[in-house]
Amino acid sequence: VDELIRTKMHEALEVEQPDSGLRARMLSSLPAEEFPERRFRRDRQIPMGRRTELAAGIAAMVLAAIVIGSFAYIRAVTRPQPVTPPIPGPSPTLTQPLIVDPTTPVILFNDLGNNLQVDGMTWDGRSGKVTQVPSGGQGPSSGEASNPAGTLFVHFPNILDRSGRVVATLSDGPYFDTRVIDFWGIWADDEYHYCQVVAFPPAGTSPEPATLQLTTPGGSLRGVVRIGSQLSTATSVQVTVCSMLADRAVVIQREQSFIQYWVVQLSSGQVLWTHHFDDTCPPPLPATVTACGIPNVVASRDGRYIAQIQPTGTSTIYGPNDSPVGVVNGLVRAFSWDGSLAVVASPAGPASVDRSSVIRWMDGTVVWTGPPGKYIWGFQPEPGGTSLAILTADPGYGLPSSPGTLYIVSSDGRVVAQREVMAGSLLVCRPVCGGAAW
Amino acid sequence: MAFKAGSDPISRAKAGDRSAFDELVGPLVDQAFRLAYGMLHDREAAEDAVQEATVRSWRKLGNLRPGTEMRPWFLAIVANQCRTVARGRWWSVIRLEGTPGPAGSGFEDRIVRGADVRAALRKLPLDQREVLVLRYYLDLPLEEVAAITGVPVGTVKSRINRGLAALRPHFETVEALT
Repeated sequence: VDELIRTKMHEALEVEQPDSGLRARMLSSLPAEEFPERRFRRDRQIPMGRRTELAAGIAAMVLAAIVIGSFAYIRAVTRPQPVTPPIPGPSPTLTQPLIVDPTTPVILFNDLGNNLQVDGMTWDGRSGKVTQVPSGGQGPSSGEASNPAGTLFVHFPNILDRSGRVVATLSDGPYFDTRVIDFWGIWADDEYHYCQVVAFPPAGTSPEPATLQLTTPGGSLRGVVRIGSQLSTATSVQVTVCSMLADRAVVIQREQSFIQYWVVQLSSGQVLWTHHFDDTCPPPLPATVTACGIPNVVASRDGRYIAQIQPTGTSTIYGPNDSPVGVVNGLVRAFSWDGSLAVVASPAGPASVDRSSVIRWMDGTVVWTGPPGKYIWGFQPEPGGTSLAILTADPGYGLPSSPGTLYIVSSDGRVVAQREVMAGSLLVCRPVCGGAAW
Repeated sequence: MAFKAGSDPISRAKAGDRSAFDELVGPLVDQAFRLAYGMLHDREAAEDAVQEATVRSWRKLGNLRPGTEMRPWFLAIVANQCRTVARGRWWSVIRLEGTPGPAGSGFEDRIVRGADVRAALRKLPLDQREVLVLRYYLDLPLEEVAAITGVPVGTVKSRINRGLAALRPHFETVEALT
């Protein structure tokens, strides 16, 4: 079967071949007189002819340092100075344990230097090692899919607590299907339940109604409502919000030419409201046309606010009662816990620009602006609070193991803490991040 | 094998040696194009994406640690660039097939040229399209697909399975006709 697929893929895609001059063109496209950026200075080779010049430069700097140091010393002994704690440099592996109460919310992330270690950062900025997991999980990293407070996370096929103790073993649901073996649940905001959508029809069966289920680690499954339909063609039905506190879930179905989402009452299974978008292309859709004008959807953790991000780069925010309550000029990526703040990316512009902001969307106040030219890899709202964790990285790296920066931004725009982490390391962002359906 | 400092292509490329950079990245350009075309389905956009990725990888070469495998590193940059391109035009209409068949060419001809599978691929979510192209067009092992896409192997498998489930009717149609 693999060979058949391979043959058909080659047949389909080999219509366009790279031409023989492509390699030369790529090389000639390198900017003239520009060298690679050097991050690791120890790799740098110094040409022999420049050593004297370099030595002179170093001598001048040492002299300058002595003069400045003398002035600083005189100042220090004549006037008391506030003590500034040294800023520690990034360490590949966190070795000090993070000592917190088991229920204290913690942002969990994969350790920078040890892929079997889960680290954590409290919302006031303290970091440390959380636990070590045994090898043998599905993924290359130590954990995935944490609940909002980071008290539980998945290390396939188990659910662990922060001490590394196995709380439950995943034994039922789509993650145990032979074709879908990773965890595909969304943790609820009570930190204990999780929702999932089961809709994997046998081959040739189409369409199959999808079912929203609610369960707990090791608990029994409760069917909430049959919703959407998983076709045998390109279709994806996902639950993106599971809120026990607000008694809501948001389920999204994306197909090749439309998107529909439902806001569901978890306790009754009743659909509170739904939005459905057909492609704006005139029917019938040509086979070679993909989605023309359907929006993307991002929901707050409780499903009270849902942003419909229009292709134009404008986001319309709908309130709890299915009425528009705000418009944001930008791509809403996430909401704070109470929904009042939104992480917004600049409207699609130059490829490398994805500037992030935190705005108070009800009055348009920009609370914080992120570094320019960075790709937003992840975000996490502070459970029960108003801060946001935002993880950005250089789009040029592309790898989840590449360097990123995790910021904790308070509701007044203050950066409470920032830390170098791996770009794809936020556990809460697996399988989806911030109630988004991208 | 021990490398003498400065003699390996990565060190030479970091020092600004363009021929060393070509030695590293040049052999990957064809694969990069195939990946980009598989993701974007547009020849010009694919070439642009590879070109942009090449420039980016040149600029970021300083971050490459000794011993890093070039292929997943470079293809990840290409894939990321393609995602950025696709994201940048996520509302736009993908252009129609560049060379329409001769008058009277029918369904069978399109099947033969793979147009049907191509069109079905285009309708897949980008993450599924990406893993299918890496796995079945570039013939890469799952671990490398995971490294390039930045997700665990389990997630790669699930994306592949979802993608294949969507493509299966097209494969079955092809089989029925041949």
